Amino acid sequence: MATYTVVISTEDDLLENWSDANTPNFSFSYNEVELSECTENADGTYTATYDTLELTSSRTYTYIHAANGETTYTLSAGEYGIKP
Amino acid sequence: MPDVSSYNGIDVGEIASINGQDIASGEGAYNPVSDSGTYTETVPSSGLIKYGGSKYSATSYTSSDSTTRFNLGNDIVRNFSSDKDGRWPVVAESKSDFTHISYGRYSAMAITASGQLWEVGNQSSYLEGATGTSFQQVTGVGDSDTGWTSVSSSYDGVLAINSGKMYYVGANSYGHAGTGNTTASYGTFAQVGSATDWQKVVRCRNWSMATKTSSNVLYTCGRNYNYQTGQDTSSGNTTSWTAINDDNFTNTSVTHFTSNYDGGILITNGEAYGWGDEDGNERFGLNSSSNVQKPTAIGTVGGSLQTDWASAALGAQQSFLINTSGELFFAGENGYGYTGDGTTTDHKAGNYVQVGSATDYERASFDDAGQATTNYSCIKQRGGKLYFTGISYYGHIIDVSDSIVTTDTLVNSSSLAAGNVWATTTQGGGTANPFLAAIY
Repeated sequence: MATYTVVISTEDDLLENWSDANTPNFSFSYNEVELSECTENADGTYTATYDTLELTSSRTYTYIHAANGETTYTLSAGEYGIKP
Repeated sequence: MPDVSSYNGIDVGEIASINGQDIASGEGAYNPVSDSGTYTETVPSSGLIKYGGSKYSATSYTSSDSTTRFNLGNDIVRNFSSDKDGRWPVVAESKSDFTHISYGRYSAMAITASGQLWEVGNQSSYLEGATGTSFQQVTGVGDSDTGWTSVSSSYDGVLAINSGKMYYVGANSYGHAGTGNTTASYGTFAQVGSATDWQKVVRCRNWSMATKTSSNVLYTCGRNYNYQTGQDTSSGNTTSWTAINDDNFTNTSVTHFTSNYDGGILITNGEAYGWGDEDGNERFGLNSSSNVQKPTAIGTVGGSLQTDWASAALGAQQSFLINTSGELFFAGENGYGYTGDGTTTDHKAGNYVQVGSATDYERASFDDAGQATTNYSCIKQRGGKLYFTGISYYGHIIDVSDSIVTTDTLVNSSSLAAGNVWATTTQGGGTANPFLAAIY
């Protein structure tokens, strides 16, 4: 798991979710839920953080796909969920 | 008394009865037109939901009572005379055959013996249809109005199962409905995927867990931040129902699972596994303050891992395990006297410690809805009766003092009705004021 920082302006920015095509059963979002959890910057902006999914070895996931039902895939070692 | 011959277009003379009692037809009958005779309120004496806590007072909610956000039961037939101090009003619902009840922040749900789903609440976003002050039946959702088998209401929504298919209403911002996205469904139930073999579901504040009938595999979804989903990651959200990490166990035959805000416990073949945030509380009895990132064997007693566990209760800083002999074991912080043995002694030495020697423990819970980030009360079911431990102040479940109750104290002298139907949670989520509903 690696932690990244992102400068945001409003609390609504914390609602953003993003996906990684390699991890269909996961989405990624900020660690903070409220602005008060973020670091306030001198210019009035805030710094939020998020963690990526890091695998040191491959891992198999079984999830329920909305249309296709039970689906199994193997995720290779690597880092996933970096914000586009 | 005004001379009223009709009301809202209804000829009063055509009204033959009120609440099942004949009008002006025999001694003692009540005539609402002349306001004569005797009206006797008929309140069922069994199978009724009683509720208390969150600083409930005899005649009104206190100003600081967060239950003002949540109307419960039917005000019309509430019978305060059933209890000497009114703290435990009997609520005579139109349905008294509930076999399961679940109370969340804005909505309560119940399933009847015939598989009907009933709801009550004061925020339409978290219900099917309109709000109300009395339980009303949910119809037209799923394959059958009598096909409901599991329901769980929590902080910001409900998950339910009808004829093996899963449905959700409410928020989904962490993917905790398992839909594969974070799209909400406010005000109406929407189906989750297309699977037809869901068995049981538990929704928590920002994550959820469920089993399927095929092999009792446990699936989770929702926010990973505190490792609460047991997916061995704290990154992002698990937005599809995903089989929980099985590095340490075989994920089949899960017969019991329970949760709190940031962790869970499952039991399979008598073995207990826990996961989630630790915060140095050592609530899993592992003699470690590290977060438990995935299901890990728990339940060591006297240095030996036990394999006869039947049920569990997970609090923010502690947990209980109950074995198949009805004995109670505890691990973690006990500053509020949850053990009920008269002590506030923590048990953080790597073992679960037996509480007394009684063998009548059937179930314990801190918060069935997994809403609160901390806990101030614990409810235990022993021999068909419910007992309280914890800080009385925050809920006033047993009295209005601010004392710490360190011995198991009856919340009601009666035994539960058949089926042992009860639920405890906290009103307002993080405010942690405890609340209890039970059918007597």
